[in-house]
Amino acid sequence: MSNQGDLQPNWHPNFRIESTLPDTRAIHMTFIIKAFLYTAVLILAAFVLQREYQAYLLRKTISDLELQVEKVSSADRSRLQKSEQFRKYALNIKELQKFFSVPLIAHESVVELSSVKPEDLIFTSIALSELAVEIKRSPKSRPEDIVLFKLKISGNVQDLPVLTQFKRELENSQLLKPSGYTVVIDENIEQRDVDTGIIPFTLIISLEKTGKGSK
Amino acid sequence: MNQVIDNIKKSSAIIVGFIALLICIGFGLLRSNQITKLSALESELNTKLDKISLNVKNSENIDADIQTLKSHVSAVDERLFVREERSTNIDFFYSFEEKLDIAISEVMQLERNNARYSLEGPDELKLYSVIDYRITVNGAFHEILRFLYEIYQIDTIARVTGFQIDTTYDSDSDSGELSAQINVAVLATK
Repeated sequence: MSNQGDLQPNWHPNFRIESTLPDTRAIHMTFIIKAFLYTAVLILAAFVLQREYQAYLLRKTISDLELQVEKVSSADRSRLQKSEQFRKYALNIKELQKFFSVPLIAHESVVELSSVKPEDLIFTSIALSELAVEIKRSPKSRPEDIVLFKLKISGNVQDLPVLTQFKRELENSQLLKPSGYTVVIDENIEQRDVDTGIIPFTLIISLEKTGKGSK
Repeated sequence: MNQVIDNIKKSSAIIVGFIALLICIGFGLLRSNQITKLSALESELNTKLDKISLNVKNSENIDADIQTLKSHVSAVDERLFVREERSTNIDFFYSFEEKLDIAISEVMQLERNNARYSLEGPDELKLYSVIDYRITVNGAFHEILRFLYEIYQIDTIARVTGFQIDTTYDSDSDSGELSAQINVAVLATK
């Protein structure tokens, strides 16, 4: 037995030119290429046409919409002008609301205070004030301007339970329940007068708008 | 591979197909953005139309509303104080003396701006200004209360911004006379 290397070469030279020979395979190479190519062309063309049709429909819709917009835009412009006019007048009303925005109305406060006052308690002074102050709600927060309303009631009582009763009545009254405001009551009781037994007191009621900023 | 290239070279149908493929790809790439652009334009127009229909809905009766507001605003304008007309303004408050049978000892038109309504204030007013008055009144409790109420319901756009009511210790009389310092803010022209 001899090795592969020892095999004898072909017994005659091969003069065939492969490319010029007819394709004898069952399915021709040219056919495969054509089929592949035309399928790709068809798919791509269908895709492109579908996109073009979609674009055509969109263009048609857009032109309809533009027509509609054009038809109503002049009326809309006049409506917008009127709206601007309305806004301008409304600003005046807003400023009026701002001017009248208070938690306590002077005469109502006085009436309410006298109606909850116990008989044994005497007012020596009632003061209402509003102050624009700058506060910082927390060390890191920015300072904000707020309006602080203060009602200061000074008076005399013979017995401290009368003052407690007055305070309770005051807390339950509608006067100190304005919506959107936080109410804080500070109380200061002075020394009893030895001769008369009268105890002077001062109540300071502070009302501050709740929420961020009062603007 | 060479055989494939040779086949392509030999067949004109393949070349045509190849060119058609290239054209399709090129056309597809060139027009790839148009749907996106057109869709964006369509949605923009739809939004515009929606906005217009909303405007139509919101502006129902706008003419009547404008007229109402206009009449309110002109009514307000007629009732505004004019800062320079100091004597007329002060006399306005003294006129309560007769009406309410009350003793007004002083009416002061304050020069300082009201901090609440001034520029950068917490309730800054841009269209109007505010004039502050300090009025000193003496009288019985019900008289002072009546004065506060009158200020509340007068035609002039005014508001009691503060008051201090003190009992006066008059040894000669036991009439229960009170003294009150009342701060009134009045809306005025800018």
